[in-house]
Amino acid sequence: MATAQATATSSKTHLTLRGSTAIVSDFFNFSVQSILYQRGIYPAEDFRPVKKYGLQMLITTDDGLETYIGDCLKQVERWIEAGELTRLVVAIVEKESGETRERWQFDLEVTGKESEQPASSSAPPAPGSKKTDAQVKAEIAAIIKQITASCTFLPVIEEECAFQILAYTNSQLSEPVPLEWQDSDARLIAEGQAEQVKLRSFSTAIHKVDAVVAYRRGEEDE
Amino acid sequence: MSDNKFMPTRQPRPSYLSQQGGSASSSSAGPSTSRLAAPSAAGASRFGFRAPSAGAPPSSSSAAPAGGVTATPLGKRTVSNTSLPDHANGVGSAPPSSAKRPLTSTSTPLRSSRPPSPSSTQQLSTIKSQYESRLLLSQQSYDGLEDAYRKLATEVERLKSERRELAEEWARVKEERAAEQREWQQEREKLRSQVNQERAARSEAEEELQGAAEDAARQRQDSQAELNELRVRLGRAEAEKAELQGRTQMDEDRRRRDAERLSQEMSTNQELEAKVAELESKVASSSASPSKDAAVERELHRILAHSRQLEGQVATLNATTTSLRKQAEGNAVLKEENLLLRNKVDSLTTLQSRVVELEEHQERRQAEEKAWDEFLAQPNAFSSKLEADAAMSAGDVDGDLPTLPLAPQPIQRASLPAYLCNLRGLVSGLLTRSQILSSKITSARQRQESLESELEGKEEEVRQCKRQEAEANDKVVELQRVKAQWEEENRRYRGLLKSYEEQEKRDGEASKAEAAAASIKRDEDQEMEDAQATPAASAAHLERISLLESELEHKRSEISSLAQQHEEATHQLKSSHLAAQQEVESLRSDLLVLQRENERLDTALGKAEERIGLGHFDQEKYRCLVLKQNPVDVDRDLRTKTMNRIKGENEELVKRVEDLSRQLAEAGSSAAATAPVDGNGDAAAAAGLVPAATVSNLRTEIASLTSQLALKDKTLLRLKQVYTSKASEFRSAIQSLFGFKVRFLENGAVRLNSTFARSTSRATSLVFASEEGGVGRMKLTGEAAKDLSLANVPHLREYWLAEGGMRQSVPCFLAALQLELYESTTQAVRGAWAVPDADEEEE
Repeated sequence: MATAQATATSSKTHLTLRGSTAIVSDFFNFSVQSILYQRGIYPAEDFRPVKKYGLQMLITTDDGLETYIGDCLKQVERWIEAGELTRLVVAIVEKESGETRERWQFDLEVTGKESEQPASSSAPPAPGSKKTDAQVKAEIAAIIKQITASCTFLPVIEEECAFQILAYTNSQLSEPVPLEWQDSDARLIAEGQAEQVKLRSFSTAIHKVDAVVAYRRGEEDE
Repeated sequence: MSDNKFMPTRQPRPSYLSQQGGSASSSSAGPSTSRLAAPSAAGASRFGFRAPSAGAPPSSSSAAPAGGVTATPLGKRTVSNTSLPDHANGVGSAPPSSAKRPLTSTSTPLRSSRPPSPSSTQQLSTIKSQYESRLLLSQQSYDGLEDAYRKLATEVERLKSERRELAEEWARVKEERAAEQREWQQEREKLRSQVNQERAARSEAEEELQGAAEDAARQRQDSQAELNELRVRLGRAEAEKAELQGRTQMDEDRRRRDAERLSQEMSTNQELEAKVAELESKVASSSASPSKDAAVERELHRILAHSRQLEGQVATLNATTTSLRKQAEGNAVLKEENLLLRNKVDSLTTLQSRVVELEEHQERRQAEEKAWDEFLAQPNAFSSKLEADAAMSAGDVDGDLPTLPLAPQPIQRASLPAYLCNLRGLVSGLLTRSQILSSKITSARQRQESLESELEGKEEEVRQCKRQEAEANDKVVELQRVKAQWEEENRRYRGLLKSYEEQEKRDGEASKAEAAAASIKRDEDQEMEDAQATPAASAAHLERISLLESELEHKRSEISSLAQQHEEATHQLKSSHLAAQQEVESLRSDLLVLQRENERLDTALGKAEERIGLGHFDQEKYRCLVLKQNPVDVDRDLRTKTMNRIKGENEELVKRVEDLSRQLAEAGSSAAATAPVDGNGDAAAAAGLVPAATVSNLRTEIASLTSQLALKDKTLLRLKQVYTSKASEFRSAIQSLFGFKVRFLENGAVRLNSTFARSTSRATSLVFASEEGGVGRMKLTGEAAKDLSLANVPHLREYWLAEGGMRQSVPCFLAALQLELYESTTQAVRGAWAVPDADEEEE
């Protein structure tokens, strides 16, 4: 019985836009929290472990942070569902100087048929259009593992830092931008000091997410 | 097992017999040997004899000088003859007879061979008597052994009977046990059935109870529902009552108003009547005088008319009042409606004002936006030039990739258009550049493909030419070979001709010519030889030679033409090969150019990807949005606020200092100057020195610190609670695992109270205090210290903790003590049939 259920779960495929959106949004949530924990933006005791994607993940217990991420991702999910989100960026900014130290960039591409985006029409059909949830989860787990492993090459953050979630959308949105949101600058890393490392990507039947981390090179590295 | 144990007593009998026989034979070895000497002598005639051995018995040796011819048969034979199993049938009687028989049988031949002499007879008789005595002895020993055997047999029989008895008893006991077990089983079954019945009864009772509970619940629900209904009804009735009360109140008010009005009217009437009466009395009093009468009458008339008029007015007023009252009732309703409407109107007005405000705002925004749009879209000569420049510089394919212009900080109306124009120009230039490059790439690819296909064609041609060349070479070789053959043949023919001519010259004989022809044309057939033999042969020869020569000439010309052809073909091939090589070279150079172009485009693509990776994006197509309340902005706002606050405080402090210094300068007196520097000046003066901003800042800081303190207190309290619960958990775990209640005393010692005690007040208690050098002190109190029967503490101490002992283990001592305490306390409980203490019950 249990085996049959497990098989059914592993072979389940999310073909709908809503299911794919939920997977992507869930990934954003866990990856953002993982980045915050791994980069030490918030103290380690503000996180508690949970089991997700077959890994031991950490999610925050700080109410303010939880509310901020929840509010952000709620709107982001709406934009993903409308096919209007193209990129999500977690910018880590130095509190003292306001300079950007790291930019974790997740490019979202709509590859499925339900998309109305003109850009996706020319795109080839997704190679993993028949992927099962288990395969997608394995891909996501690989990215999370890379995020965890990236601490080994990223410069150590010693200054006090805060973070921002930036959402890149189409300029012509179907609905007006909510009052809680405003336009922002892209929080780019200073010219000539940036390095970037491409991370893995994952795809569902409808979306494809590419990840890349750009960081400010340490002074001694130049 | 028991059978095996008992059975062997029967089995070994033959072996015992044989052993007995063996022992008998061995014990009587000497006599039997001597006894069998005679019969063996009887068999000597048949089997031969051998010389008597040195170890022969004395009887035979003594017989040898007497008989002269004595012989001893082989021992084996004697043993087989005397072995007892042959006489197994007659244990008691057979051996004597068999022992005697040989003597009688052997005596006869001895007697027959030699006449009996008196000495031999005597000797025989002595021997006989000896044998008989020996026989008797052996018989006696045999009898003794027989008796022993019988005794053993009876013993065995007795043991067997005992065993039988035991087995019977065992079986009996077993049966009894089985019967008991059966009884127990039956009893158990009975009890089980009783338990089942009890269970069934209990379940029935439970079901009944449950049913009753359900009924009660249902009834309760019903009653609750009824109660609710009644409450609802009550509420409704109360509402009706309130309504009725309101109505009654209204009626009462109306009635009261009516009554008041009536009383007013009545009082007016009364006043009028009083006036009338007064006037009448006046009239009556004044009726005496006729002059006054007329005036009074007039007055009266006037008054009466006036009163009538008043009455009419009152009636009309009454009617008006009733109508007005009705109108007033309607008016009240209208007023309420009016009030409602006024409220609505008010809210609408506020909404309208808000809408107007918003519209104005929106218009302002739109106008602003429009102005911006116009401003940005305004074709400016300078901006278009800038844009064109940027587009030119970006669109220049040969130039380097342009860098993105830095955004002006802050963005202003003056600096923005130039930035935007730059960006626009850059984007359009980059677009044109990418289009040009892509078209170039496609054309280069097409060209590359065409060149490659052409190259392939040329290579194919080259291969064909080479093939042709090889064929031509083969042909040339073949022709040269043919030429060589022809030349050889020609040479030979020439030699032949020469020899012919010489021969003809020499002798002119046909026969020789024939011989020469035969020698030359060995390969030709016989007919030709015959023909050559004739004189006509020389003509034929000549003809043939001329033919051959002409053919040779023809072949030569052919060879020369072929050589010429070959040279031409080679020349052509070489020229085509050179052309192909040149073409290949040009294609290669094209390919190199294309590859360089490709590499350049790849690097451009890599740079573009890098820019995308770093976060650059097309601001016309996409927007970058952020939640207003994000950690970075919140932190920045907080910092800005703090900074402003501190700046304000600083300014005020600076101002204050300036004031003070000015005051000091103005005062000029040293007394006034020293007063504030005293340090502990009065509070009022000190308070006057501190600016309000500082106070408010300090208050904010105090408030934040107080809140932090409260948080810390809360955390401390939580920690305390957690530690207390964990400590009690730890102690209870130790108590349930090791049977000791642990208490840590203030002086660092540890007190252990054993849970095994006859009463909790006198429980055995141990206090451990550690000292320096890994040594500790132990103090034992409680019932175990007083009562040695409870636990032999001195012994345990001696065994486990003795100084210089091998063990010296406190845990083992404690465990042993616990064991003994457990034994004693539980025995005490069992022995006294006492109810254990509460603590022990818990255990």
